[in-house]
Amino acid sequence: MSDNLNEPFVKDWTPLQETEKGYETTSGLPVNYWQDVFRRLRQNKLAIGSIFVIALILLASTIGPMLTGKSYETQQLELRNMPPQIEILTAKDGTNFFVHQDLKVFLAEDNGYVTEELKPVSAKLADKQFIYKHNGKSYFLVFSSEGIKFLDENFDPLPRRKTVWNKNYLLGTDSIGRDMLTRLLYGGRISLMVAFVVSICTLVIGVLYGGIAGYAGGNTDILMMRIVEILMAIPSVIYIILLMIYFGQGVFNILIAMAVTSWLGTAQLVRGQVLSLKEMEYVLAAKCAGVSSIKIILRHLLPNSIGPILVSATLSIPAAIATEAFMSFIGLGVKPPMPSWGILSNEGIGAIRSSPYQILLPSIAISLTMFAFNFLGDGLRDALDPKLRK
Amino acid sequence: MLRYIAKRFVMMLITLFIIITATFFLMRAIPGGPFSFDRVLPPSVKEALEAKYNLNKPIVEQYFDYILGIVRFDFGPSYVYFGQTVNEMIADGWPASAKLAVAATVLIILLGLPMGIVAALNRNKIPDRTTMIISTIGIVVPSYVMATFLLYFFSVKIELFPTFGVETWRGYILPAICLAVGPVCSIARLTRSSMLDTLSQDYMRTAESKGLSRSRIIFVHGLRNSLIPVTTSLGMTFAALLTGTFVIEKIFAVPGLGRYFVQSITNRDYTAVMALTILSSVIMVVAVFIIDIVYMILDPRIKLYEK
Repeated sequence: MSDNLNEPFVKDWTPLQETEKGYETTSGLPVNYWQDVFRRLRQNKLAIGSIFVIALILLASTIGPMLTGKSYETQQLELRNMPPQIEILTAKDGTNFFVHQDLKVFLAEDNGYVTEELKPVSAKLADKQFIYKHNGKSYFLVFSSEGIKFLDENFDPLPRRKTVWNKNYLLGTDSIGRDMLTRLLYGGRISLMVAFVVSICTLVIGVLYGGIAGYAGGNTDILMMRIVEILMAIPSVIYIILLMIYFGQGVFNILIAMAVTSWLGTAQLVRGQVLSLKEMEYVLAAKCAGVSSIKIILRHLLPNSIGPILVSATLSIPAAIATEAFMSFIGLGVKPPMPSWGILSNEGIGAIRSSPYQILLPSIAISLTMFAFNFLGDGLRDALDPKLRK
Repeated sequence: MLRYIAKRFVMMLITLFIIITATFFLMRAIPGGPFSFDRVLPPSVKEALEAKYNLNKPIVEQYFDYILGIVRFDFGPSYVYFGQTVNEMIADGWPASAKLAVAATVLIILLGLPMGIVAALNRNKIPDRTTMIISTIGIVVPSYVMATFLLYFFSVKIELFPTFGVETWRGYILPAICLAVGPVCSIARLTRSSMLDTLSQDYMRTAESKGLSRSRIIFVHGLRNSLIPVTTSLGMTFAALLTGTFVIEKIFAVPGLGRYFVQSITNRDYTAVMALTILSSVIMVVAVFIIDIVYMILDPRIKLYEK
């Protein structure tokens, strides 16, 4: 060790490579609030994925029903409960059959098109047997507790050739022979429309009511909020039920019933926001400049509380989808034959044993939509206010 | 404190009054009335029916009669099942709903609380992450969609439980699970955040520096304080479950109040619908009132926020 402490220990130090030199880094351009929000939102992969899923669902339910080429209400009773996937049995002469679990036999093509139903020429119900004739050959459908067997004229079971996608009805048909795909897409249109309109109504009523209560303050505020508290004590589902019994089934009616019962939370939220914002200096400045109260609410208070309002609106959409589905499920929502996801679930639940796809498809659609909107709402909340992150 | 309770009590009475009034007039305003069947009744029969059910009296008189009846817990006769009173039907349906509610609540306590506690103690580690993912699924997916999936898997695919009916205890398992899934997840989240809140308090550090054992710190100092908000939420959940749940009871064919509610809606059995509406609202409103007071007793700090 050197005695002279000022002398640098040159041999202990190696010069930096050019690439290792850390110059003073300057930050990027200053960003405003919304750019910052978008930057944070972009980092949330779940939220971005949700946006794509929502866009896909919206696109599918708006233009999808036009592309399927089928109507949501046309019934084909002879083609009821056709599953999305069919098992093709091929006879020795090359004829393809599809044996339906409801003891029906169809002629099919091997690529998955079901052409026509084959009617039995005679039935021996005592032997649990149906006899069919096609192209001069006889076939036997034998059913027992073990299952259904389709036999050719030598009583040999037809070989199971392959399982193919049902080309006539990609997602099968329901219990009265309506196309599930069209109904699912159209149902999505109804469910999403109800959810969006209810959410907008909730927003408008809640923002106006809460904004006025918060801005007015004093006795007006106390009275208006007491009303909200009393209404909130009543379980909202019960009131939607009562209103729907009064109105009767229908898309428009469920819209109204849900809109008049769902604005309470938004009103409380907006009131709280306005209450804290109205003491700000810029509001005082606006008042001094003689700006009217309505304009102060619309131009100064609401834009500054837009974040929490936006989050609550996003999260109110899945809630509305769930409520609509629930109401339709108990038979007080949309009026059949118009489908919604709730109606489809209601119709499908009875066939859960024989045709599970009828209930699983709408359930999957609802779950997917609920997840997407919830993740987007959570992502928005985190992006708008990182402090709120739990 | 008494003043606060009195104020809340008056609020509760006003709420109940509004509920009863709104229900009564909404049901009376429905066009058609209870006896407009597809088949037109002879006028004399219709008159006799209306006289029997006091429907020929002025509406205000009917209203006061109805309120007096409710005060005596008498909801009147059913309009659809002749000769049966709504009270009898409620007594018929309640046991099944109550059994389900108790079973679901037991599940919620047994699963939700430990999940939340474990998650909070292992913050940002695997148990926490897993709990959070599971609870997100449980909260987001509606209960009847969950019921569908569970029913499909457990009753159709592996045939472990019956598809419907509650003749045996096995029939209660799936509906109770379906009812419990959502609340379990929200209780787990609530317990977690409440526990995290408590763990960061100064008195936890004091307890630690006193040299108390870890289990004593967690269970006596931590859990007891973080359970206060959880208790109130549990109370609300139990009250909501007690009056039956429409969809789960319908899906599993449980002969409970909820299914009966849906049935009376379809049958247009107005007295039954009114009775069940009022009953479930009353239970909810009274539960909120009781829980508020219990909350105040459990957590004396709450008085600080009260004027």
